[in-house]
Amino acid sequence: MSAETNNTPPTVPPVTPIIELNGVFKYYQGDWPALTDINLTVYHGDFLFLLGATGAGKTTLLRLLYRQELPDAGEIKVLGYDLLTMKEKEIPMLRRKLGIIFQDFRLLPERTVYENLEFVLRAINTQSDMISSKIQETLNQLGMTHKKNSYPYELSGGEQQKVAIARALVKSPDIIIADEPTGNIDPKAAEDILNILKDINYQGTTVIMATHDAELAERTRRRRITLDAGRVVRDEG
Amino acid sequence: MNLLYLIKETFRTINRNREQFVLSSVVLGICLLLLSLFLMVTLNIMNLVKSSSELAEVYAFVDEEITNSPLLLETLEQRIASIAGVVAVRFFPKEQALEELRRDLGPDTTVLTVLGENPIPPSIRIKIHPDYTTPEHINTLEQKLLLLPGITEVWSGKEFVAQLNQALKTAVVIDIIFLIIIVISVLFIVFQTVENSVLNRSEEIQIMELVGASRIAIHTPFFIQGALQGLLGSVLSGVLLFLVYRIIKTFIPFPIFIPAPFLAGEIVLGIILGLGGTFIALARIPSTLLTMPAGFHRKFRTSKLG
Ligand SMILES: Nc1ncnc2c1ncn2[C@@H]1O[C@H](COP(=O)(O)OP(=O)(O)OP(=O)(O)O)[C@@H](O)[C@H]1O
Ligand SMILES: [Mg+2]
Repeated sequence: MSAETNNTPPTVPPVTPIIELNGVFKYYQGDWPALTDINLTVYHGDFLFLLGATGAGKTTLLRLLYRQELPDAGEIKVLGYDLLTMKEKEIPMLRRKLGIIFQDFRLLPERTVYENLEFVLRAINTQSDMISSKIQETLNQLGMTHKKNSYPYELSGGEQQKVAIARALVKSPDIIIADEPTGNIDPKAAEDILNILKDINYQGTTVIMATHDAELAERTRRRRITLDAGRVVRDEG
Repeated sequence: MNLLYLIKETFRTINRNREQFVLSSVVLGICLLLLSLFLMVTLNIMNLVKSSSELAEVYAFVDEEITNSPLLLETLEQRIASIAGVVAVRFFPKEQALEELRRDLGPDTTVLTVLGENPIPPSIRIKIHPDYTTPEHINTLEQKLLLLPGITEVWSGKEFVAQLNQALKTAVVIDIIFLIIIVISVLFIVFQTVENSVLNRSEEIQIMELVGASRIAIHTPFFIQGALQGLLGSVLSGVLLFLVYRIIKTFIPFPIFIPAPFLAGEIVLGIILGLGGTFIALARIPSTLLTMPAGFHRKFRTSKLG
């Protein structure tokens, strides 16, 4: 930083709320709530861990964010969309701005790494002449260029998860939503994946990651939300 | 989406389900063949009706005495010619009629020798305007002719034409019933194929929905598949129809025909039914974009997003 700017206060990064939940309730069967009165604001550029024991409601909360489920009460706004009132036709528009990653990778088994990424870009009407360079760039960023022509079954769990991240990343999302991305891989690979997500976050993408691994989250020193039986019991860091 | 990629994806889908695709396309082709056979029969009856009406001639047999008086004969001819719908009249003496009969019978003239004397009465042959060949008109004409002095008997082909017309009506009814059955069957065949393809692709569809593919992008490969199946089936039925036509032609003396627009129409019908079947299949399978209502397709429940 140069000497002249020392007198002026440091520029505050824009803190726009990117996700807002207000009084959100979600019931599955019967009246046993999966989520109870969730109030949560996530800002642009945040890195957020979602912690909690199994059945605490982490997945449910994430599913609400990408409009896979609707809440039974409350308000949800994501990237300016009101998820309760948005038209069904707008859902694809919302999802194009989200990168979703799962514990079980969900790669298409009959397609190579390259084809898995191409599939996504084609599905959202990316111009043909952009496809190859976007894929190249993304694979490069994750150090997976050499596996471009491999099929998922030829890859290790960690590598498969990297491809899944590449698939989420290739469409340049505003938010990465990862549901236990390290759940199925060994600790060393998990560390790797976490570093990649931190990298992505560092470049300006908001990341929300659900995990069982409280220790891993604590080490990372980012915001941590803890759910217990559908309630937010802690919001720290 | 890029058309080339879409087509590639379509073939990928078909390939995964190719036995059913090929088999059901063949069944579809046979269904369309049956339909076109019926339609062909109808068309040919129609053609026959048309040509026999065009040839319509009424024979008025006349008293032999009248033929001895040229004046009476001429008056009679004039009176016939003035009846509505009569285009031309021509006197046919009995010798000429016998000649004609002899020619029709061919070399075997035993019948004629047995008969001895010429049995055929002289006649006046009356050509009818095509607008006046309906049974009602012919009836009126017959009655008018019979009232004229010198005419003993009238013969028209109206019974034959009436029979043909009846056959045509029956054929059209059968065609309509058949058309409905075939249309439903073909829609069902395409529907089943597409439904299976959708199930085979459910993993892909889920990914597409998650990354924000539009509904059109998700649906288009299935529409291409349906249209392709319709096209394949109708081309197959066209080829089979042509073979059947060649075979029948050698057995049936009168000419039969298949008009080219008929084949084109069949291909268009095949494609439309292919698209229709796809439409029904896709409408029946709710998108996971909807927040999975209670009655969510059972087959999809198992592969639902986690
Ligand atoms: N589709 C569903 N139908 C009915 N109940 C559900 C459904 N999905 C989740 N639940 C219930 O909602 C509660 C929260 O589940 P959720 O999957 O959100 O928990 P989680 O925190 O992600 O757990 P885990 O760490 O095991 O993934 C649980 O009691 C679960 O049984
Ligand atoms: Mg979960």
